[in-house]
Amino acid sequence: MLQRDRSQLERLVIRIANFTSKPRVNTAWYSFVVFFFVLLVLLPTIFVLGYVILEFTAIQNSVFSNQEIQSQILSALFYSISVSIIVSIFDLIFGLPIAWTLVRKEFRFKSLLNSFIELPLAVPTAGLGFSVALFWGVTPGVESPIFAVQFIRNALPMLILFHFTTTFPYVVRSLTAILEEIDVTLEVAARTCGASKFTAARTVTLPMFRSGVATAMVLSLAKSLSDTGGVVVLLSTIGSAARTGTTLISDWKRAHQDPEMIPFEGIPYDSLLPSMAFLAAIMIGIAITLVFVAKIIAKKAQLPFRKVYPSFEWAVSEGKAPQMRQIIAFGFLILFVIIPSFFLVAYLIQGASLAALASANWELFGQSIFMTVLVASVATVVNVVLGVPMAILIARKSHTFSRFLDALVDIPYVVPSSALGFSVGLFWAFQPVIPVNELFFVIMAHISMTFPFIVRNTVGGLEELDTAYEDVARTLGAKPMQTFREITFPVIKFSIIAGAIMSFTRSVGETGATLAVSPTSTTAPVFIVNLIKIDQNYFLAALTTIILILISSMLIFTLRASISRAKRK
Amino acid sequence: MPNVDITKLGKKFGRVVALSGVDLEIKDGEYLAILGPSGCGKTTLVNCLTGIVDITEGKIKIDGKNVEGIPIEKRDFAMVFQNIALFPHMTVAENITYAPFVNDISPSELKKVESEMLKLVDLLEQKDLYPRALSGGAQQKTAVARALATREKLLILDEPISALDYKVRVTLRYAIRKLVKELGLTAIHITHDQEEACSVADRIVILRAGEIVEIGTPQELYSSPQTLFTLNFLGESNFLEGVITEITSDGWIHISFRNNQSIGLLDDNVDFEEGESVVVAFRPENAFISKKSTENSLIGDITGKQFIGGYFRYTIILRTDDEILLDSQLDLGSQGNVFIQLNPKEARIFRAPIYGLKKVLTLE
Repeated sequence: MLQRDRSQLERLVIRIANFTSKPRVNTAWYSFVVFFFVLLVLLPTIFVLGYVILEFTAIQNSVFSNQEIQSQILSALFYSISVSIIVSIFDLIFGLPIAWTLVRKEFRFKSLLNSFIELPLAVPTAGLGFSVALFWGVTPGVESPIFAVQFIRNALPMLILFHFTTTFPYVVRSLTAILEEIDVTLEVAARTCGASKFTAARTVTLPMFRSGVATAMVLSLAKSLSDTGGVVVLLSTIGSAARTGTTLISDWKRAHQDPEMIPFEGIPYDSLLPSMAFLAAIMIGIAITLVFVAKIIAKKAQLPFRKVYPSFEWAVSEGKAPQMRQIIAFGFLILFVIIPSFFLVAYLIQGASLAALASANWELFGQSIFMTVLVASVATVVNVVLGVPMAILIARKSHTFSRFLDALVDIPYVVPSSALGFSVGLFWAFQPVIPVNELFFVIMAHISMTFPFIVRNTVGGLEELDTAYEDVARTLGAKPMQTFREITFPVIKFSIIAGAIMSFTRSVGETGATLAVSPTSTTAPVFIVNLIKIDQNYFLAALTTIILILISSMLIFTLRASISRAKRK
Repeated sequence: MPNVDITKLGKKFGRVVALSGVDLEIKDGEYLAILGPSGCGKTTLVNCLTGIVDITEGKIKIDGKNVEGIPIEKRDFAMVFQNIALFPHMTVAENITYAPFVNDISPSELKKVESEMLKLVDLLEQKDLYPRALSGGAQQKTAVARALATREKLLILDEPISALDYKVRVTLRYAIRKLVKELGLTAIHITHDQEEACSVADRIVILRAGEIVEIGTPQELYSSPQTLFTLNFLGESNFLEGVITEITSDGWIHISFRNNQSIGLLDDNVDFEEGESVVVAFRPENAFISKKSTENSLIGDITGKQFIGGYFRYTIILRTDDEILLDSQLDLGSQGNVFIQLNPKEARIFRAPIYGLKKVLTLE
């Protein structure tokens, strides 16, 4: 079954490749890809920046004259910025030793631990928010399962714990990926010079690892700034009224569409749209600045590489110290990432209630699951078809233009999802050509949001593949597209699949972008948010989360299995 | 003073035996080369010495001290790596002073070591460059200087110059040997290049499939090797399979080959018996070729001629159906009938190996 599917996919690729072999079609195709990226992915993402400039008078009149709006924005920004910075620092402090151990050490449960770390990635953030809140928080409306810590009442520590759980797996994954590239011999060479293990790691590997650290920081910052659904669920479960930048946008958007909520906390209807635009623009600005600063810090920071502290470093390299370090790091991982992620399973087992199931809106439940899968699938397929050529353009055609594209591709990735959704919604409402169709807009927002995953992964795969193989094929008389089909594609298809998995799971879990495009489109994560925030039907929310986890992990599992089978051949 | 004593060393990776029964003593101040084809266990041997891998059985003593369980950084040796392994984010000077730096010596001492080492390998002008800006030769000199700056008396060189151009290799190998001798170090030099091994080493260890085949000075191994493998691996050789037909009282051994070809050779080995199967081995330079008929010679046809520089190398198919290579300063044309007289003392007779000649000569 799977076998046939794959060959069909390959046949499709072959057909596309053959057709595009013709030079004129080739040029037209690449032009279309660039056109699509610039006009339909990138422009909608940052459209709000233009809107802010055009409508600046409206913003002045509403935002700058309304104390309430200003205080809401300031409070939201305080949470967003402080949480993302603190979380990214924690991510690095604990991520480095864990990534190190996973790459450089051999131990018994290594492969188990490797898959453990990825597990939380399959949990939609809305469900994660509920799970984390249950574990750590004092939850007035819900009875938490036994073993719950039930300790946190305030929004700030809660947000930090939650974002740590969501970002940590990403950070560890990106750190291990880059660490694997660094030659172990260098550390051995350092040790033959008499450096202790710790000194060798700190003075030799770590400085070469700076770009990896920067990438991980960017990932962590972008993700903590971005999360919406998880935050809404998290804070409403512990009964906090605090808002982050992204949840403020989605609350305002909801009010904007629902006349009953007007005036929203003292904000008149006419002020809502300019305020949202203003906040979204600020969020985008902050995200891009933070990313830029993180990159500079990682590149320029003069960590004390040219100094040694022999007695201290020998002490932490010998005897029981390395083992202790590992135990602490992994204990930390289990306590702060794994258990909070899956704590909702305990709730599901303990709190099974027929009443909750009976009162549920099953039709909406089914619809939301269907819509989630539909949106994620369409977005992923479009991304694969257009993202792979984009990656080729970046990795294989070396002119200034492709370097420029290379820099632009990451933008949708760092823009907070609510701001992105709002901007995309604004763009599609603004353009006169296509009539308003909310499903279409939601899909477009998801495409913008997940496009970088496919491109980045494919570029990574292409860079691994030595161009010499392609050149050899060309000297043997293969046409460019034949070369792609027979040499390049078989090698990079695993990277494409990995990108597709990331794109699909991200789309399945996404709340903020969907809500900000259209508050009425109920995808499953939005359904979960509503169940918790409005209906207080926690049990059904947990159940929906589990179903989403199953859908994502089934997809991941089948693709993984087919990859490993293909690799074994 | 460093001497290395290896007894019954064995190393297994799972069920794969990488080394077995290695006994080796390296004397203080000796330059020892470990030579063998790729996959013979050279690198594993070094990794056992340095502590990069744990040994499965046997003992390694450096300076009379058993090194088992001692981590890499506490063993007393300096090392130059096959892939050079310079730290890419440090300059030449920073690379060279890495060992004193991690041992936290005072800045003025550090400067002293730096200038001394830079002078030693002649890299003063390039001291502020990063490794990527250096030529291959300069990179390797930096790596050698970095190792020497540890002040250890035992230097391990793992294929230190294999990746460089021929001319650079030749210059560097003399430079390295000179340094080792001047500084009174003990050196273990791993290589797969027999010419390199012969030109640098006091003694050579020939390793094959995880076991030591032979140990000796370069001259001993070249001119009187005890095994067919060494003869084949070190330099070039021709092999003819035959049977002893007669041993005379004055030491002549008569051997007959395929197609009724036969010759007589002199050999001190008195163990041979008449009727025994043997292999006659001789190097291309140890035979005399002539167009005229000579006594006690093999007959063949020239099928190829190459000018090597100073002499010609002929490919000849003997009447015995064997193809051999012979060197001569005479221009004998590129075809025609020739007579080949083996130097009766330089041609060597070995007992025919039980599993066949091919098996013994293969490199793995």
